[in-house]
Amino acid sequence: MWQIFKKEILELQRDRKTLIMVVLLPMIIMPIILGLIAAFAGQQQAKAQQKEFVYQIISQGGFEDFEKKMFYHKRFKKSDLQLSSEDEAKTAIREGKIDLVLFIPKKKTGTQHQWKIFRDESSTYELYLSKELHTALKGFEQKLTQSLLLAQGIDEKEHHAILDPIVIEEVDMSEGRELFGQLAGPVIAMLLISSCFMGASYPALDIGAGEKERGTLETLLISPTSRTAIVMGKFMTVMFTGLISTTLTILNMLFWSNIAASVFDIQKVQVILTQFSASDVIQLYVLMLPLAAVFASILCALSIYAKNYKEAQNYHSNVALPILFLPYVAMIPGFEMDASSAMVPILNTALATKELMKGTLEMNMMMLIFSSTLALAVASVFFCVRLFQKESVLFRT
Amino acid sequence: MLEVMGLAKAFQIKKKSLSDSEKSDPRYSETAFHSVRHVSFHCDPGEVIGVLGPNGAGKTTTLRMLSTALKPDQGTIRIAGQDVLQKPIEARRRIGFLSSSTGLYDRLTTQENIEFNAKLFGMSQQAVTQKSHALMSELNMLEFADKRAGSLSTGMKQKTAIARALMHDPDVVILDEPTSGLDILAKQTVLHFIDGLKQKGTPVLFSTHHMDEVDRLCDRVVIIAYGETIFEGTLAAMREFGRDDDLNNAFLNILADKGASYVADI
Repeated sequence: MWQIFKKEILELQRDRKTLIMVVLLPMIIMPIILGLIAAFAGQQQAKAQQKEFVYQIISQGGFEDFEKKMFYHKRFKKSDLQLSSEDEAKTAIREGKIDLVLFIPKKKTGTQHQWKIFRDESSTYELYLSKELHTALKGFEQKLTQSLLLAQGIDEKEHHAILDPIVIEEVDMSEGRELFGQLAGPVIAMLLISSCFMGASYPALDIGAGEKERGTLETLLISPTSRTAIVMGKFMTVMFTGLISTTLTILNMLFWSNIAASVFDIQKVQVILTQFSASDVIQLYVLMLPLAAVFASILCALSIYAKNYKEAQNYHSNVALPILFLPYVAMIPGFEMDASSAMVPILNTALATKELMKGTLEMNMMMLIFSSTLALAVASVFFCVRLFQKESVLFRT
Repeated sequence: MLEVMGLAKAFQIKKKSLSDSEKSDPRYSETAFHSVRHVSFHCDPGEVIGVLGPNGAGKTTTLRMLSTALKPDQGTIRIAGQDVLQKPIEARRRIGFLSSSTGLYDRLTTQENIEFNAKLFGMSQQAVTQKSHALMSELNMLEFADKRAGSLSTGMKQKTAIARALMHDPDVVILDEPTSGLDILAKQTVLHFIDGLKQKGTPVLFSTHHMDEVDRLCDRVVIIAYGETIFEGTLAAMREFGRDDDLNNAFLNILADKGASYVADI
C-alpha cells in the first residue's frame, strides 16, 4: 500500500493538471477570483453611491417645499420630461428614461394626504433609491408634523416626546469572534469543503479511470499486491490530496486575512485572528478528516467503476452538485445545528465549522459529527474496496 | 513448468436479445458470454508455446487468467506444481507478464517504472538497484534510464517493459501479443528477448497473429477457437494436421476443420 501511495504521489506531483487543481486553484486562482468579485462589487457599490436618480413630480400644488427640497438634493435630478398621467409615468420608468415619479395631490389643511410613488423595484439601484427617497420623505414629513404641532400651540421642546416617544439603544452582547463566525463561518465552511472535494476529484480521476484508460491498472493487478492494498493506496492518495487542498485553503485564508487586516488597518479582524488557537485548528482537522475520507472513497469508487476518463468526469460532476450544495444550507439565516442536522453528512461539518469559527462548538456535538461522518467514511471505504475486487468493474469496457 | 487444465470463464451479460451472429456463437447464452470454455495445455521448461486463434477466440482472457488478473470459473493452473488459484499472490511472484501496450507510467522515468514494480514484488532496495542496473546494461537502456516513459520511443518502452517483467526472475513468462503494432526494431527487441528466455530454460507463453514469429521461436502451438483448445502440438504436427507446409494456411485449415465441425455440432 505504501509503495502504491508513494508512486501515486510522485506521479501526481509531476502532473500539471493536478498541480493546478490542488495547489494553484486554492492558492492563487481562488484568491484572484474572490479579489475580482470583491473589486467588482466595490466598484458597483461606489457607482451606486454616486448615482443620481432622475425624478419627476406631478403635483397639484401646495407642497412646493418638498419640490424644492428634492430639486436641491444631491442624489436626485429633476427630469426634463413632461409627464401628466400615470400611464406616461409607467412608460417612462419602463423605458429607463426616469427612475422615480411622485404624484402629489393638492394640499388641504386638516386632511391626510395620499402620495403615490412610481418606481421599478427590480432595478439594480433600487435599494439605494429607496433609502435616499425615504430619508428625504421622512425629513419632510417630520418638518410638516412639527409645523402642525407648533400651529396647535405645542411647545417645540415637547415635539421629540410626541414624534419619538421611545428612543431605543441596542447593546450588542456578541463577542467579536462570535459575530465573525456567524457571518463568515458558513462561507469558510463552504470554501474548505469544496476545496477538499475539488482537490480530491482530479487525482481520483487520474488514478482510477486514467489508469484503466492507459492500461497500467492491469500491471498493478498482476503484481503480488492484494487488491485491497492497491485500492487503499489509491484511496490514501486521494484523501491526502483533498486534505492538502484544504490545508492550502486554510493557509491562504489566513494569509489574505492578515494582509487585508494590516493593509486596511482593520483592528477588529486582527483581534479576531489572534483569538484562534492551535486547538481550533486541530478541531477543524478532526471534522475534515472523516469527510475527506468520504470524498476520497466515493470519488475513487466512481473513477474505478467508470469505463474511461470521460465517463468518470461525468460521474464526478453529478456527485459534485449535492456535495457542493449542502454547505450552502448552513448559510440560511436561522439554520442552526441540532442533533438531527448533526447526522446529515457534509451539512453537519459545515454547521460545525460555523460553530467552531464562532467559538461555540460543543465537544459532545463535535464527537457526534465526527463519529457519524467516520461511520459513513468506513462504509464508503468498504464499498470502494469491495468494488475493486469485482472483475466486472475492473475490466468493464 | 506450466500446466493448464480445463480452464473456463464466463461474463454476465445484460442483453435483452442476441444478434444473429451472437445466436450462432456457441459461447452466448441468455445471461452469459462464455469467453473461455475449456482450455488445456502445458508448457515445459525452456519451451516456447505460441497461443494462436482468431480475434475474440479467448486468447487474452486465457492469458489474463494465467496472469491471475482474472479468476477462472473452472479449471486449474499450476506453475512448477503449485496451484495458482489457491495462492494467487505467491503465484504472481513466479510470473512475468508483457503486452504490446507496455503498461508503463508515462510520468515515471524508465528506472522508476522498473523499480516501482520490483518493489511491489517485495525486492529490497539493494537488490532492485543491482538487478535493474544489470538488466538496463544488458538491454542497452542506461542512456534513457532517467527519461520519463512518456517521452520514450516504442522500442525504448518495450525494452523497459521487458526489464520490468524480468526484474523478479519469473519462473514463467506470459506475453500477450507483444509485437502487435511495433516497428521492426522494437519487434526484434521482443523476439530477441523471447529467444534469450528460451536459452535460459524459462517457459514462455505468447499469443500472436504472426506465423513468422511462431515459425522462428515456438516449439509448440496451442490453437484456441470459440473458447476451446482445438489443437495442441509441435509445428510439424500443425503442418501435418493443417495439410499445408505454410503455417498460415495450416492454421486456417485447422480452424475450418475444427471450428466448422464444432459449429455444426451445436
